[in-house]
Amino acid sequence: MRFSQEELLNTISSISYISNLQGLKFNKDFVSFSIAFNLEGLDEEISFEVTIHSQYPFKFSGSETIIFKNINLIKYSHVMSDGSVCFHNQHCIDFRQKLIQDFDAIKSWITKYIVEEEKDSHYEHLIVNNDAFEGSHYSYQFTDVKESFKKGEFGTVSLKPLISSPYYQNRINNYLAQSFIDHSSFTVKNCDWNFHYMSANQSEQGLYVFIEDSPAVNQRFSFDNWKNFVNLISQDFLKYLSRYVISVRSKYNPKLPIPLFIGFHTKDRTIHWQVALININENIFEGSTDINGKPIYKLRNKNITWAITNNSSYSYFFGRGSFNERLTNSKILIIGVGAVGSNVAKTLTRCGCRYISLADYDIKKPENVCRSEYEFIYSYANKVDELRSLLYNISPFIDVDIIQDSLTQYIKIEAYARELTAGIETIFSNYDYIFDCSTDDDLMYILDNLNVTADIINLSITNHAESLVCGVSPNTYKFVRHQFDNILKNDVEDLYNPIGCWSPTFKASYNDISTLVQFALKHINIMVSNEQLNSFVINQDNNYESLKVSKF
Amino acid sequence: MADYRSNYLQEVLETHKMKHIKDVFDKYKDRRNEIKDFLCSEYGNKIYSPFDSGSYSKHTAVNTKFDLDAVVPFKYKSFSTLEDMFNDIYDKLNDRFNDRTTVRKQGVSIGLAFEEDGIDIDIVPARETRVNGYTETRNLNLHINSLDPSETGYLKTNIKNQIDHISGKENERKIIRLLKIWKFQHSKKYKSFFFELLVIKAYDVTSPTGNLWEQFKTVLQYIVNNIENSTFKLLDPGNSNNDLMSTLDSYQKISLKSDFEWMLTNIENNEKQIEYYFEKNKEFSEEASNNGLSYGVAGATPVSTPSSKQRFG
Repeated sequence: MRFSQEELLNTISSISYISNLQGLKFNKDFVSFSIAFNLEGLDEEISFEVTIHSQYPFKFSGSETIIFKNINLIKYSHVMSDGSVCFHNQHCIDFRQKLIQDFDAIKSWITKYIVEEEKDSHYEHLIVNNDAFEGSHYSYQFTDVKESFKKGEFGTVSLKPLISSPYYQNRINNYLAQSFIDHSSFTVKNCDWNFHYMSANQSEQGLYVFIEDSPAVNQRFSFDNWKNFVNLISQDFLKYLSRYVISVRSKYNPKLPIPLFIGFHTKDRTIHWQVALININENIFEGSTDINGKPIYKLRNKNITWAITNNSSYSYFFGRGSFNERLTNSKILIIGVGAVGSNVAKTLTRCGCRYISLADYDIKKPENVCRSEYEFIYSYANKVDELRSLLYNISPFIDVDIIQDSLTQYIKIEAYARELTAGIETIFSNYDYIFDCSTDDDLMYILDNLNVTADIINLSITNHAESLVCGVSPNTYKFVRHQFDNILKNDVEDLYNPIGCWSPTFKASYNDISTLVQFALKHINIMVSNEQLNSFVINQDNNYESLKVSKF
Repeated sequence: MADYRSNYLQEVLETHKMKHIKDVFDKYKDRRNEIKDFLCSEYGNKIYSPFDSGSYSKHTAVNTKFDLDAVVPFKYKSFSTLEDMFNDIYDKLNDRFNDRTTVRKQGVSIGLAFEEDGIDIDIVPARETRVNGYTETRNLNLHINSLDPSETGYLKTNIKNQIDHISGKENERKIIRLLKIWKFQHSKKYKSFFFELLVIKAYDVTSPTGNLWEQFKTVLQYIVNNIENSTFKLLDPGNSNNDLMSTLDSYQKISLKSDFEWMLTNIENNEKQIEYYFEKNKEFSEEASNNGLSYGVAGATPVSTPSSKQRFG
C-alpha cells in the first residue's frame, strides 16, 4: 500500500462525523474495514464496508480506488447493484488529504440523497449488465420515431448492419434500427436517420414489443431474468414469438441471436429501447395448454442476455457540441471539395449540419490525401462520391446530394447562361449558404452577379497557407480579388511540382490548412448565430504565435 | 505631408464628380424643367414656384448614383387634404407622361422613369402649413404614401432649412460624398440624409483638422464612439421633431459601428485597403485609359505557373 496502517488510523480519527471502525484488515494489496457515518438529520448512523485498493490515492482506469458499500442503500441514486456508491472525486496525491476528501464526498452524498431526499432531474439510463452472445457482443442504435407506440404493441424491426469491430477481447456486431413494423396493422414507423441509413439494402430483422413501463428494479437496475417480465409481456406477444421462432428456425444460424427490442417510456416520456438477445434454440418461455386446450405461455426462470442499446437521436448524438442551429438546419452547398472544401464539408457534418450538397468535377488522386479529408483506401475516385461516403460514415443525420457540373461549369457557356440563368438562380436560391471553395475566379465573378438569396461564403488561401480570405456576398469578387491582388503576400517562388504535370500547385500541409479552415469556420459559426456575416482575412501572426482576424 | 490615403480619397472624389457626366446631367435637367413647366401650366396660381432639391442642390451628389428631385409647393387652399394633392398630381403626371415613362407613387414623391434615356426624376408634392405661411417660414407638409396604414400620414419639413444647414460646408460635403460612395459600392441601406446630418454633427463637435484622410478618420471615430449612445440625436433641420436616429434599429447601429471600426483598423494596418472601401469611378480615372479592368487581368507570368495573385484551396 502507499500508506501505513498508522496513517490510516490517524486520518480516520481526525474525521469528526465517522466512528465505530471495525474489522480492519491491512494487507499489502488491499485494506478493508467497516465504519459508521453520523450526520445531523439521520435517524440512525449509516455503516459502510470500505475497501481501499493498492493504487490509492491514485485512480485506476478513471475509477476511484476506495469503495464504500452498503447493499441496503440500493434504492438511493448513484448506488450500484452491488451496493457501492458511485462517485468521482478530484485528483490528489496526498493520502491523508485524499482520504478526507473522499469521506467528505460520501458525507455530501448522504446529505443530498438520504437526508434531503433530492432526486436528480436529468434522466439516467437503466443500469444494464451487457453480455456477449456466443462469444460476440452486439450493439443496437435507435433514434427518434415520429409515431407513438401503444402499450402491448409488437412486431418486427428492420435492422441495418454497421461495421463490426474488435471489442475488448472479442468482436462486436453493430446495428441500427431502421423501422418498426406493427404486426397487426403493418404500419411502418421509420426512424429519423438520413436516407443513406434508411435504405433497405442488406437489412436484417429483429422483433419488438412495447411494454410502456421501465423494466427496472429500484427505477435504475434493469431486470436480469425473464421471469421479471411476467406482468409486462402479454400472452399474445409470446404466441407471436413462438410462431416467429418456428417459422425461421430451419434457416436461422443458431450462432446469431434474435434481437428483441423492449420499448418503454422514460421519465420525460421519450421512448427508450433495450435489446435482449434470444437464442433460437433456448426458449425464454414454456408452453402448455389450459383445460380448454388453449396454449399458455409462461416466461422461464432464465437470465436475460442484454445487448448494448443506445439512443443516438440527433440531440444525444450532437449533445456534446455542435454548430449553431441556424447553421445546422440550413441547406448548404459546397462548391469545390479540395483541401479546403473537404475540410469544410467534414467539419460541418461533424458539427451537426443536416443538408449538404457537393459540387466538384475533379478526381481525387492518392497524392491529395496528405492535405485533405480523403482516404488512401479509395485511391482514385470522384471527389464528390468519396466525400459523400466519408460524410455518411460520420453522421447518420446528414443528407448529401451531388450537384451536376452543369451548374458550376456549363454556366460559363454564354448560350447556356443566357437561357438558363433564371433556373440556375432558383436552384442556388434553394440553399441558405453556398461555400465556394473552388478557387475559380470566373465562377466567383459569375456567382457574384447572379440574383441568389443564399449567402455566399468564398474561402481560399495563399501559398504555404499563410493567409485565408473569406469573402461574403454581396461583392465577394471585389473583396477577394482586392486581397489577393493588392494586399496579401503570396510568395509563389516555392511551389510543388507534381510528377508529370507542368502546372505547379501550392505547398501546405493538412495541419497548415486545417488550422486556418477551422478558425475560419469558428468565426463563420459565430457570425451566423449573430445574423451578421462579414468578410474577413486570417493571417498568421508573430511568427505563428497567433492568428489574426481582420473583419471587413 | 503627402499621404497616400488622403490623395487616394481626393482622387475617388474627383472621379465621382458630376462634371464628368455633364451631357447626361443636362438631359436630366431638361426632363425636370419639362415636368416643372407642365405642372406650372396645369396648376397656375395654386402653386408657388417649384424648386430643385436633392443631392445636386446640396452639392453632395456623386455621379454613380444621384437623385434629381423637384419640390412642388402648393398653396394651403389648393386641396382639402394632402392625400388629394398627392393623388391629383400623380393623375396629371400619369396622363401627361404615361406614354414615355413609368409613373409610380413612392414614399413622399412621385417617380418618373423615362424609358427613352433611363432617367429617373422624383417630384415631391408639398403644401404650406397655413394660408400664406410658405412665404414667411418655408414650412411645408408632405403626404406619406404607404400600403401600411400605420405609416401613412404627413411629415412636416422645411427643405430650405435643410439646404441652408449644409450650405457652405465644403469639408463636410467631401466626407458625405465619400460615405455615399461607400454606401453605394457596398450595398448598404443607410439614408443619405442620415449621413449628411451625422457628418455635420461630427464636424460641429470635433472640428477635424489635417488632410482629408485625417478629417475622415476623425469623423468616423466620432461616429464609432457615439452611434450606440441612446441619448445621441440627429435632428432634422427641417423639422426638430424628426430625429433621424430613430430610423435606425439597434442592429443597424451596431453594424455601422463595426463597419467603421473595422474600416479604420484595416486601413491603418495596410493603407492599400482603402482601395477596397472606396473604388474610383474607373470611367473617369486617369488609370482607366492605361489599365482597363483592375481585376481579372493576367500579368506577364510564365504559362501554367501560378502568379502571386493566385488563390489556392
